[in-house]
Amino acid sequence: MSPLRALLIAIELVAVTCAYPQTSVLNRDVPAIPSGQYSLTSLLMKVGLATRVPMGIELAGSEGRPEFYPGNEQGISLQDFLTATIKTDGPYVWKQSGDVINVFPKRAISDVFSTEVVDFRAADVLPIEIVQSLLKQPRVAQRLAQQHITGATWVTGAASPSRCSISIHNLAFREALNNLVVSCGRSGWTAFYEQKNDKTYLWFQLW
Amino acid sequence: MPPHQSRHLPLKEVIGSLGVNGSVTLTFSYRGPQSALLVANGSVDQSGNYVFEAEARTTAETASKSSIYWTMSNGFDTMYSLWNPGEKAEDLLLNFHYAPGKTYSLPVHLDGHTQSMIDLKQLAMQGTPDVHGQMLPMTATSGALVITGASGDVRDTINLAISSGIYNPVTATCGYGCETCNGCTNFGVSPDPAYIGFGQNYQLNSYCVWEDGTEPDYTGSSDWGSNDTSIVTVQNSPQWGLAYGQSPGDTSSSASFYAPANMGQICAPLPLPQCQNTNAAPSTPVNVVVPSYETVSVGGRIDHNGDSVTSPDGQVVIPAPCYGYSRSYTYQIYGTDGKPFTTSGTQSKETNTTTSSNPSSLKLTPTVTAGTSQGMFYDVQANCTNVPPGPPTGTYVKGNQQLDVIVGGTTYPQIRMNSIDMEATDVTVTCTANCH
Repeated sequence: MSPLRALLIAIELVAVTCAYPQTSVLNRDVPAIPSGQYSLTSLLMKVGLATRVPMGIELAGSEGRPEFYPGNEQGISLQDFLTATIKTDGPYVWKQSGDVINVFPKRAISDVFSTEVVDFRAADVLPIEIVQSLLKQPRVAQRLAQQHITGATWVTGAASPSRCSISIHNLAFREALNNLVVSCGRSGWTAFYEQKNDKTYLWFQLW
Repeated sequence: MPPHQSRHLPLKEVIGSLGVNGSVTLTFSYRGPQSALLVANGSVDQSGNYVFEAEARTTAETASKSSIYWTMSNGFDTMYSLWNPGEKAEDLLLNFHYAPGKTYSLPVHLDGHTQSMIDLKQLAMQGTPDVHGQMLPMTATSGALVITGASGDVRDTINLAISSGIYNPVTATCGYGCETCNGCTNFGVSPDPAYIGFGQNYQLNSYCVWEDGTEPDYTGSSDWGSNDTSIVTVQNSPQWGLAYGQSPGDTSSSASFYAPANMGQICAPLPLPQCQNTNAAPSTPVNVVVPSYETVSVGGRIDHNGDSVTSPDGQVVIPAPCYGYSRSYTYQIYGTDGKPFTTSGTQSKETNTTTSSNPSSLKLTPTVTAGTSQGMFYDVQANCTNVPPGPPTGTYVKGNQQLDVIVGGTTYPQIRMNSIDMEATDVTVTCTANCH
């Protein structure tokens, strides 16, 4: 092995170690989940809440039907769970972004999640208000309009009066939502599409 | 003086040698057991005839004093002799109560070692105004007298010897007044019993029951203690009586303080005991309370057509516009004493697991602070969008809720399982533990 090749391997090992340190959220234990029918979001929510790892979930369309999950024993890592659940030959990929796990489709209906939020600040507001404000950011709103998509929020279940503040500078819309979840102490966000009355809705939920 | 002996003091000669034309006050100092020395003296008129006894009085700083009865009717009159035995001047207020709600309050200033005579009938006839500009009416027939410091507070310290005589110069009859040292008839610590939230401060107060039924506060002059400091501690300076619930349990707290004792009614010629303070040590049972259970009140379904969603305490939980519907839940926390758990800083952590729903299930864990005055907190369940027409028909949320109350960093499970179908007209609430 040439010295250059050895150096590259060493750098790669260091990079891998740095990417997945012992404190990485990917090492957290996933609780036992019995086999059964689960929708992708419900399964990811269950794991995200149990491991206290925030998740940002973008669905390729609507929520879809529950599918069979064979279950897992207690003690597998979050990384192993994601690898087993989000199969490489499937329609989704997952990615760690800081302490947030993003799951998104390989072929998305809209590329709005990659649109940049240049500068955004909000102080002492409800988290769902922040999502609504982010949807009105010029580049995000423009992209949604170009694709004839109505971006909207949908609150289901318990609503909390807790408020928070956030400051965003030059982040992709997806990263901005991640930032919101972390800053506001929420467990995750979900986005899914719905076709209704010849219109395409992109629904956003916080959980 | 040897025991069982008496001695005659030639006061007439002594007073005569002073060359005074008026009144004098004779003081004796005595060191020995209380009531072991009897002093008797009387007055005579110019012809040498005995008139009546001039009573001896012990002197000391006391709280207010009362004369139970005076009269100035049917030819009778009442005279009071006031003497300041101290070096310091005394500003007094003589409150003559002569009818329900009617008081004539006469200010009297006595320099050190000086004496004053008050003749009630003379006061009325002269029309001497009191501190409120009122006069003692001639129609006043009888009443009682309370002598206080200038502030009028019956607890203020005064240094005054008082004697009184009721006489009728026409019929040549006379009698004695009845006087008393005002003070406390009972002592206590409030509240009784006391319930203190675990991990919280609570103010205890000590008091005595004054003879007129008022309850002067002695919290700041008490020495506070706890029977078990592992359960509750009670502070002294600078926050006297401030108790802290260290751990759940039962114990008692006490306050030790000195206060004037009510000496009861003493009517001459019985010997007048010295006014005394008494050392009181009242206590109260203390129970350090923890959350015990909750009740829930479910609000009706509210439809929203672009307005905001607010919780019952007025906080916005979903901003406008909201298109859909919501329902509120008001929880009331009760402590182990069966009363609303009102300890400040109490929080409730809600875990909301949706058992089935469309769209996907949710689980939220907001932590809310219970109302400090009523021990209540609120939850709002909603299904709404920010664009019309609202959630598609067929969407629903059913959930289980677990509500834990957190006090002083300790979590008390208050488990409630709610089967909630937001679209349904009725909400089924099923309590599983620690709830009604």
